[in-house]
Amino acid sequence: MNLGYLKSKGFILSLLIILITVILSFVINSPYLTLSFLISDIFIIMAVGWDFSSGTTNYINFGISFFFGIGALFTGFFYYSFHLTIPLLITQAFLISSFSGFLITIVTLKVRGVFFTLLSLLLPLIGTDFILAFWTVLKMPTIGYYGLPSLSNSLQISLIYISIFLIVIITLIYALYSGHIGLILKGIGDDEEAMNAQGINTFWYKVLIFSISMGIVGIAGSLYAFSTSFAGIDTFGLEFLLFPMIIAIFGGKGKILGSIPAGYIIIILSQYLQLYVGQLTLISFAAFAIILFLFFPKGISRWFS
Amino acid sequence: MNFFSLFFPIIIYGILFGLNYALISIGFTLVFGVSKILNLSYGALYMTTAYMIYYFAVMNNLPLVISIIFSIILTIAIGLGIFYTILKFTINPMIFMVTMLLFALLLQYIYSYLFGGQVGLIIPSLFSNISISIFGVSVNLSLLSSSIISVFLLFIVSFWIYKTSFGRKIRATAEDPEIAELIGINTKQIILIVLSVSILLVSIASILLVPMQEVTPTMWVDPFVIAFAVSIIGGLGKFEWAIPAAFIVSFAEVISQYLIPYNVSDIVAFIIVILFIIIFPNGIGGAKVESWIS
Repeated sequence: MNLGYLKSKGFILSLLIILITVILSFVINSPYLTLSFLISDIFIIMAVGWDFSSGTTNYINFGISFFFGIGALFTGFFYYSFHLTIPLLITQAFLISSFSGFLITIVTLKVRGVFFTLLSLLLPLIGTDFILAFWTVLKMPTIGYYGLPSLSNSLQISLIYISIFLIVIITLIYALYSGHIGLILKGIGDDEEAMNAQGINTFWYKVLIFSISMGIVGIAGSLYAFSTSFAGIDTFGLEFLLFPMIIAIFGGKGKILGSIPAGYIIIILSQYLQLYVGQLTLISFAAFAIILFLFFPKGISRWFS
Repeated sequence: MNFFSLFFPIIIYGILFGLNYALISIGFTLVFGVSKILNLSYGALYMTTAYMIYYFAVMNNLPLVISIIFSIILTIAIGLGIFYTILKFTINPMIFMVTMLLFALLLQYIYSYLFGGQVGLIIPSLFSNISISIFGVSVNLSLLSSSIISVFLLFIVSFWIYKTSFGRKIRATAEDPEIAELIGINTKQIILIVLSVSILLVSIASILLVPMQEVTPTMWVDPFVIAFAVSIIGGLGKFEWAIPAAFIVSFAEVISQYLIPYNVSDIVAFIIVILFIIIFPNGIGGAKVESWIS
């Protein structure tokens, strides 16, 4: 396995930024700032998970808030129904989201381009109905699950745990990028027809990549449920598509390095805006996303390169 | 409950909802037909009309007809504004589509901020809300009236597309925009007019249907899911197949509502779309979709 990526400037810088947030949370000792870092880490996990499949293959998947919701809700379900421990709950979130991703992409990947995107967009849109129906059949509380345990009693220790998750996920993605799968991913993004002509069956690679990617998003959903002590239908909301999408695009398509500073800037800004202007935050971020798409589609990564 | 006790309700509601779904969807497929752009702000424009009527008729006590006229004009202005603002910056279909979706979200957040997001609002109806009995099935007069108006409007749109010289230009643009341009058709003008008509149709659908439900900031999802399902089932861009496709969606939803005691209508629409993509990717209208099926 090629481990050269561990010495790359981007990887080391990513680790450094994450480390600085942890140190800052201890130095400044503000619960609000620590919570903002924690939420930022979760959204960065979502953004890099999304970027891993969509940013490289050009199959833009808008279904991420569905898998985020699945990760969060099943964490609540398994906690209250089977009293699983936190590591097992996070593992099940990965497995269930990956498996849902596998089932859904096996069908939706039959279409391409804007139609794939549109089909994936229907997922979060029908997600609420789906969960309400499914949950009613299972006789589960449709309003959601309150009182989920935190990762730790101390917010700063929770931040350390989540930062470790973020680092592990970034390492995993870097490892995949720099190996055989990375080459296939770039090939699919550049010219899928040429890949097929060389006898490479890109379909199953895409299914694999999307399953891993949605599993990562499911982990983010589970971590979010622990951080807010709540898992409900709200987690299927399009805000959970909007923010990771802004982070990934602002950070630059297919660039993990860009997503990390972009994630901290955007989420901390949104947390503080929420404090002062409330609901106007979402309006300003939707407007910001529109401007971003129209004026700066390549994101801030080019400023780093 | 036996088959015969369900027969008439399913047939009657299937037809009534099918007509309304056709009205909701025809504009969406028309715009795709001529511009090859999926208008993702479509559902948000349906919602815009509803909020405008609430603003004019309920908050400012204007007469309903005046409120409707103002709402339609504003919705068309907002819809065209969104489309042409994006067109000014990009012609990349992916960026175009995502930005349209972002505009839909922006409208959702704006309405939620201005009108409150928690409680559903009620807007006045042009028709009486009483129920009448048809073959022993209780039918809301508003639903019946909106279905009759839908038939009338679908007839006018079909006539416009198939029996007028302008309709011929629309069909030529949908078939091959480059050739249409070469033979002297102003395709930009065609797109502008078709887009305006599509927004007008979705506004009218909103005026007819929203009084039977509540106005909420997320109400744009249902009409969007229906329009998308209908356009895939009919065959993308094949607007002549939107009406039979609307009936497929409505009958599937009505049957599911009688068989499954939960609100699964959107899920049913999604499942039908998935089934069509697997079995009939070209839709019932036989759209040319080689470029998007792998």
